[in-house]
Amino acid sequence: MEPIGGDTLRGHLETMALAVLENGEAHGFEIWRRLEDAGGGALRLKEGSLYPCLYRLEKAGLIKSAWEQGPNDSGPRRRVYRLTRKGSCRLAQGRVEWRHFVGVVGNILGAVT
Amino acid sequence: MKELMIHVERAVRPVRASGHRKDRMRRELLDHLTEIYQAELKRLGSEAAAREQAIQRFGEPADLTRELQDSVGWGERCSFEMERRFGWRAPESAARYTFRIGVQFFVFINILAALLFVPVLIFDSQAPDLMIRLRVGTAFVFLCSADLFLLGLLYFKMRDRLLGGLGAQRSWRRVAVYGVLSMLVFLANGFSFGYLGIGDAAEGWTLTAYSAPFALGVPLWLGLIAWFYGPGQIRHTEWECLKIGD
Repeated sequence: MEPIGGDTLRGHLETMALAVLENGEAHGFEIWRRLEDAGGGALRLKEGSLYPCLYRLEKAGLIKSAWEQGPNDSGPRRRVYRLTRKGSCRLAQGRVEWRHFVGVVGNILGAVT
Repeated sequence: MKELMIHVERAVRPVRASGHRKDRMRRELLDHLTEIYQAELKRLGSEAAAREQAIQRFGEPADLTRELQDSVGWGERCSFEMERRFGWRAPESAARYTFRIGVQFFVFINILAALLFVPVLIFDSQAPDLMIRLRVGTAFVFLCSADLFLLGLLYFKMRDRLLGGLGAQRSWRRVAVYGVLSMLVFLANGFSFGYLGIGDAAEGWTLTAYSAPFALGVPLWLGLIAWFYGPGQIRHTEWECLKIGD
């Protein structure tokens, strides 16, 4: 299977980030790791792009964040993100939109072939 | 580590956002980049190869700058403009910065004072106490500007000695010296206001006596600000002074 690159993923990264945060709060690197695991290694996106995406979600009130001490008390603090109620609603809406999109495009592609 | 910091700074420095927001970006991006680097180092076994791979995975700074810029709101852009005019600018020294702030305040308050005094001069030019009011106002403007410069400079000196930042050695003795100097500045303020504003040395000594108990709080106040805000300020300065090339 060909890796899925940035252009294809654009517009979906925000919903995917919301989806992985549904499994519990996480810091940036952990969110990325969850995305990679869920994508089975097929995602090809520059990792730095995750942060602007998280900032946009936070600005929209879909997630919130706070500094928390890392697992090792002497280690650096990490910014931990969690889903808000508004974010959960947006995620549910995103799933509906995605199913609709897949259904429509799938019908067209199926009809063509 | 420094190469990773430079890579992050190339992406973050051009972003038009407040220093506070940019420091958060720097910390988060550097944490992530360091995690990638450590994972790659374990996989490849070579520092140079791991660094190259980590930077490649992380993305181009120019692209990241664009995305980060799009993620900040207009409030952040306004803060950026304000900080660019009135905040510290790398690699400005503490003396130069506090002097600039003192001059900016002097100009601003003079414009404000002129606006306030024009109606007084028009409608109340025969008031017997007009000259006294002008004199008190002038003394206030001069002293506040001088205070911003002197107390500001003492604050930065005290902060660096208290926290051992920006190449300064930690020294309680120096902290105490700067504390005493800040008290003297405050006391001199009281005297100068009485002497210059009211025109009477005896009034100056009276004001000095009244301000003495408050003078004790000045070093404490400066120390507390340094303790709570100093680490963030030092970190910000270190990032902003990092040489990132063109």
